[in-house]
Amino acid sequence: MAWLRDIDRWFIDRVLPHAGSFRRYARRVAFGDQDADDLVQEAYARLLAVDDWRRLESPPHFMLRIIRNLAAERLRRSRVVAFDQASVLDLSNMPDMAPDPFATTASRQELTHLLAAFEKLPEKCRQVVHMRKIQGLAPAEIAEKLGISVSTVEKHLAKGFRLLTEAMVALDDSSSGPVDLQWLQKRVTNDRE
Amino acid sequence: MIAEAADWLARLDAGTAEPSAFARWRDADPAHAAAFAQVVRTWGLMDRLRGDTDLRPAAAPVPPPPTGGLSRRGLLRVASVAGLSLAGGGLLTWSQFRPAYASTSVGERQRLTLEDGSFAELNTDSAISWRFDEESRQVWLERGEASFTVVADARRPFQVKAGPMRTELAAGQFNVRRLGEALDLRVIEGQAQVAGGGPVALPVDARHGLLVTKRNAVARALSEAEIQATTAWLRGEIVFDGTPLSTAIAEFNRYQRRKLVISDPGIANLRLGGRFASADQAAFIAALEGTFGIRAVEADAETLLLSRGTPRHIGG
Repeated sequence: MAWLRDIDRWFIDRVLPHAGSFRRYARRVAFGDQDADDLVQEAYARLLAVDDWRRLESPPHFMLRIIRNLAAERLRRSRVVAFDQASVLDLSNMPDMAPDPFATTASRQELTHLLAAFEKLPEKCRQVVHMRKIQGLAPAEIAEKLGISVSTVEKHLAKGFRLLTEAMVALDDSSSGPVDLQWLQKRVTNDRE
Repeated sequence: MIAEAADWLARLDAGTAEPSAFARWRDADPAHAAAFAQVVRTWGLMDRLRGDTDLRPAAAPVPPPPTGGLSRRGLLRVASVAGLSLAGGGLLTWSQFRPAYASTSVGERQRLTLEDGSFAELNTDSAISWRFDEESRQVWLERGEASFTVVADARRPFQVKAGPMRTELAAGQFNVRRLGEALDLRVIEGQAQVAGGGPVALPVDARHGLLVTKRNAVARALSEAEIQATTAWLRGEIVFDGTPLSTAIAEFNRYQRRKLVISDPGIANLRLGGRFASADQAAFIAALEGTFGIRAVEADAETLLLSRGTPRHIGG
């Protein structure tokens, strides 16, 4: 894809595969799921504005720090701080995000989740996404076969990928990779202490 | 934000977005870049589904066309029959049943060896899907024209379906072409059984053709010249034999992105004979000029107007 910059590729390959972990962490420090999603999205934007991104040793860990800092900023401004949120903001409670070769590719659960989201797409939308991505037809071919305009094909694809991406953003905890299991265990241990 | 990003990706994918406009949007806010990257990742994950035999999704069922006619949607419905029948079934079993698919664009030809050793060759702008299992060999001609060279298999009949038509082909060579709502089957060698909407199957012998429409089916013997003309496309040729120019041009245009259009009604009924390379539009036009004094004038990048006499400039 010629329209991706180096930083975009880096972000897609090194950062986004850990999205499940970011969301889980954000949930612990945010006020509800929507707030957690906003926090993650804002952290993404901050990360993509970092000039020397190439020098970051562990991009996922850096992401968690950004989430933590954003959350801390908000907590300082808010009057009520839930006890749990305060404890998670403690850096020693950060999930262990050592680079993990498995986390850079999609997990089986992630693909299963994507398939489920695909099946929930509106019918026409699903059909066009299937023709483009599974059958591998060009947009013009799809337009021809369905007797619709290329611009309508675009609209179906855009809607489909909006819905699919939103489903991926909202990916549940249980769908995360090996790094997250490690973190879960650690969390359980911490909670016992 | 995700919605905007998905919109950009779809337009970039179709080649309708201005890359510099996209770059401006992306650079305006890192949140835009983040949203776009997330959509691109989903886009890439869909490719993983495609390559994954267990997770590969079924084709979406297509609603029936609004009118009683057989529209493009109707054709497509045939292609997703397997998807329909499995709609309530398990996804994990889908990979065993999914039809394979092949298509050609305008001017292309493609030869395929099927799992049983039979051959299918697709003519220009054509598409087939097929599914072979223990009980049958099923092929759907979704659009265009295909030639099948079928090997015998007593256990598994070789069925070609197109719209409401069901044909069963014995060992031999066959040419099947969709003509709008009709189907043109020609048996070069071997024998075929054809069923339309009704329960009665009609046998078609070697060197016979059957034109099936929604209303009826007409069988007739084919001359040697017609057999040669039918199979000419397998050699990249088109053969005309006293063919009206309007028909000949429609035939030639199937192979060309730049279409010939008759702008002079006086020439439509001229009769044309000869053998032409379907890829060589210039030679065809040269032959029209040499034989009939017909000239071609470029109307736009995709159209050439044919008329007799001196070309005139429109609008001065």
